[in-house]
Amino acid sequence: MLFNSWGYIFFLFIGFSLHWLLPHQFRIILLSAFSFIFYAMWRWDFCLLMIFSACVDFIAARQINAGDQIKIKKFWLWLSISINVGLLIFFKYSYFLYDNIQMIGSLANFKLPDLGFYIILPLGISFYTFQTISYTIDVYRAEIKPTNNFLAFLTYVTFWPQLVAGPILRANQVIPQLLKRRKFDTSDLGIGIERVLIGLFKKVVLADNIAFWVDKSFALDPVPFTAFDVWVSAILFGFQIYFDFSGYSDIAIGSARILGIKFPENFNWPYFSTSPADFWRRWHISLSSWLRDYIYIPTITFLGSKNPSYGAIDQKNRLRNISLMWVFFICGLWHGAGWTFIVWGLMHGLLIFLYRRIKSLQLINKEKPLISWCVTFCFVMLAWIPFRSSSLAQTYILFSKILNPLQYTISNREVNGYCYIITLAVFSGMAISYYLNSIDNQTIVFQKLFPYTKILKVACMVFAVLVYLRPIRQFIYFQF
Amino acid sequence: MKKNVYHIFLGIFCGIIIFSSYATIVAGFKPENFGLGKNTHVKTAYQNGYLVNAGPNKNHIIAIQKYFTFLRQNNFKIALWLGASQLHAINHLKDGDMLAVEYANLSAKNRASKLEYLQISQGNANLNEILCMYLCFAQKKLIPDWVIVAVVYDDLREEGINNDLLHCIEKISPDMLYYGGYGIQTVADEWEQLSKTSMVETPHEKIETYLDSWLQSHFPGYRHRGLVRSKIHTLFRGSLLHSMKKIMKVRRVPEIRGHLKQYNTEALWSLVTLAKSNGSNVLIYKPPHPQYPGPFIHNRQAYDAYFEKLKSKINNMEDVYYLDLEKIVPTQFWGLMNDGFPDCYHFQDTGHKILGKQIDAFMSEFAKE
Repeated sequence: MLFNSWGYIFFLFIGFSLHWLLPHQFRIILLSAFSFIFYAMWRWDFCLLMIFSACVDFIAARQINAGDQIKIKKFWLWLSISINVGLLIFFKYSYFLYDNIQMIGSLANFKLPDLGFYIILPLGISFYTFQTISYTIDVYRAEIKPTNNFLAFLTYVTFWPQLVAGPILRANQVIPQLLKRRKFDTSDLGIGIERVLIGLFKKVVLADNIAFWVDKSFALDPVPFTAFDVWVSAILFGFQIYFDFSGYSDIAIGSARILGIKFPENFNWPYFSTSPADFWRRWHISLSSWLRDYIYIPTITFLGSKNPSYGAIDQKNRLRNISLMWVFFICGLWHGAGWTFIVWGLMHGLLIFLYRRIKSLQLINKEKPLISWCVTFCFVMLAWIPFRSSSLAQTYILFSKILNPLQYTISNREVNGYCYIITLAVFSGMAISYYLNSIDNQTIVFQKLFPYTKILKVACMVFAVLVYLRPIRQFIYFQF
Repeated sequence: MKKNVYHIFLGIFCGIIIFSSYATIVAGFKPENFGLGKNTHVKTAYQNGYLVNAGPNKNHIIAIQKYFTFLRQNNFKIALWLGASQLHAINHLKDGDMLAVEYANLSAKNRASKLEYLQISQGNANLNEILCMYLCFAQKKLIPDWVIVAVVYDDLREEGINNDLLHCIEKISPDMLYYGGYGIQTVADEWEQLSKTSMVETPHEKIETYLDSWLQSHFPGYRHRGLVRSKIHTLFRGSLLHSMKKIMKVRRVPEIRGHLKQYNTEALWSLVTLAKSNGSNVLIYKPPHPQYPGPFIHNRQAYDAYFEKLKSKINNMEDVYYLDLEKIVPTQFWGLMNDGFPDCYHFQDTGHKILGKQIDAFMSEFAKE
């Protein structure tokens, strides 16, 4: 089910009403049932895959906890990881692997037989797979105790607000809340409704309308583009994906909050970061922290343990850098089965690597955050080019425009003039919102002058959502 | 905190009231008139109580398809006339004014011909969209005897396909893909893209359709949402266009890039191929254009070269005809744009009369009735 639809608003209203009407012991059953209904609105048969995945991890975690030998614990851990990653590879990366093997084979005049079957990518598989993996690893590391309540675990895996596009939650963030006797709180309701509204506004008013221009720009032949055309297209896509994904996260957080469950934040003004590392602390926070905890740190530990000279500073930095590139390779690949996504991931890895180098040489002046922000903003936006491009060839052409000083001409503009105006307008709007958000609300003069700002804000958002709410376009992150 | 909740509910209530009121106000707004120029308006034409001209609207196209079936059952020959806004807009529209399609039908009736013209048009329709218009009929096995296509040079710079039109067609069959060439592939790709991003054939789609129709009948103003969207866009774009033109003061010669010319012309050849394979004749015409003194709106050389190339290719084809109608409508019957520049695309009733008669005159000579 798409969040940006009347169907979802109706679904949420029914879910909310029944949830608070039912006694505590039935709520978890309701949440689980509603989560499956939510998913079945797309396809019911893939619900079985989720149940299978949940069963594997539930059993594995219990075996790990019960096992008294490290060998047994390891066996169950690797069994769980292999099954989860195996499913992910099969459903998400089969075509990618096939195409690449085919391409390499064609060099040696070797042709692979047709796959012979059609694979449908199950919605949200990348998200719930990472979630279940984190559960088993946390149990293995003895950071959490496995739950004995299968229904609670199943609800954690399938809980509809975060099912198809995150945030990627840890078991200890959700299961205790699901089991806790929650009391209805009007402030939770208020906060939840407001977040859902903000999310819908970001998605249906901003992201979907920007998408129209982004699609037009990226569908054009890039050869006649000027460098400014490339910049505008990249920045506009950067805004689109931010509003799209952060809008989704807002609706997820708001929906859970209405049910009395608190989700951690997934975005924190990422386009106002002052370094590439800062960007990843503010963008898709749940994924970046997942990658840090389950790939980056274990990779450093693993490589370090294999290397006797781990203690030396240079060696330590080398391992950090290898891990960094590896984690961003995975990050790119997680986002999509294509080389353009891998290039995007590696570009971010390279940016952080360069940032660390420059920082270590003390070339960054922390007292001038505006320059740091400007450089970070430009690089992050440029990195969206491969992410949005349809091929590496398109990426190459677009980057060659950016790098060629002769392409910085204001005549022969190819991208529609509206794109320039919208980019400027959206950026100004974001900057003003960021400024208002960063200062203490109580000190804002106009808030004192207009105590009913909230009413006006909500009314405007409701008006805009009523005008634009149409399930015409799914969330970008659904495809991941 | 409780105050916060009340503020939110009050805000929601206010938002709904504002929306309903505004939607009721804009109920009479005609978005199709925007961009047509000063005093130029859209007209809808009927014949025997049936709609004979439609835009990219599923319901309208279904209505025309019904008339198509009715005509076939009564042994009429059918000419499907496809084009851009010139076909459905009239400058200085008055009571009793008619569209070219109506004049063509009148002319056919006067000569006791069993030929009926049906028209599908869309503002700034590019040739890929015109191909889609044809597919709306061909996919339903509604094969016209003639397909008439107005090739508007200015619209060769338009790309993409209107989603409303894509919603009117079905998945392109492998047969069509095989015979249709590059143009049909573009339509197939766009259709696939659209079907991927929507909820086609899922339970969610059914619920959404039900809720949407329920809201249309129970929520005041909801049915005018599309008009509210158009009004907002019109206000935004209109004010921007106005200020941009004020700054520039001069009219820019629209540049039509080679790849877009090719992209659209390929669609035309796909249409010709499919129409011919279905046994239809095709008439492609160069539409009327005012002969104002002063510089031509496009690069004249490129304009002429494009149509010359089209003509020479068509002349080598069987059952495909070319007609040059550039100079048939005298200058005094053309309108003005909102910025005061001459409107090169829309004319008054007399222009429609001339065009309709001219097309029917051609048909009376060439159509095997």
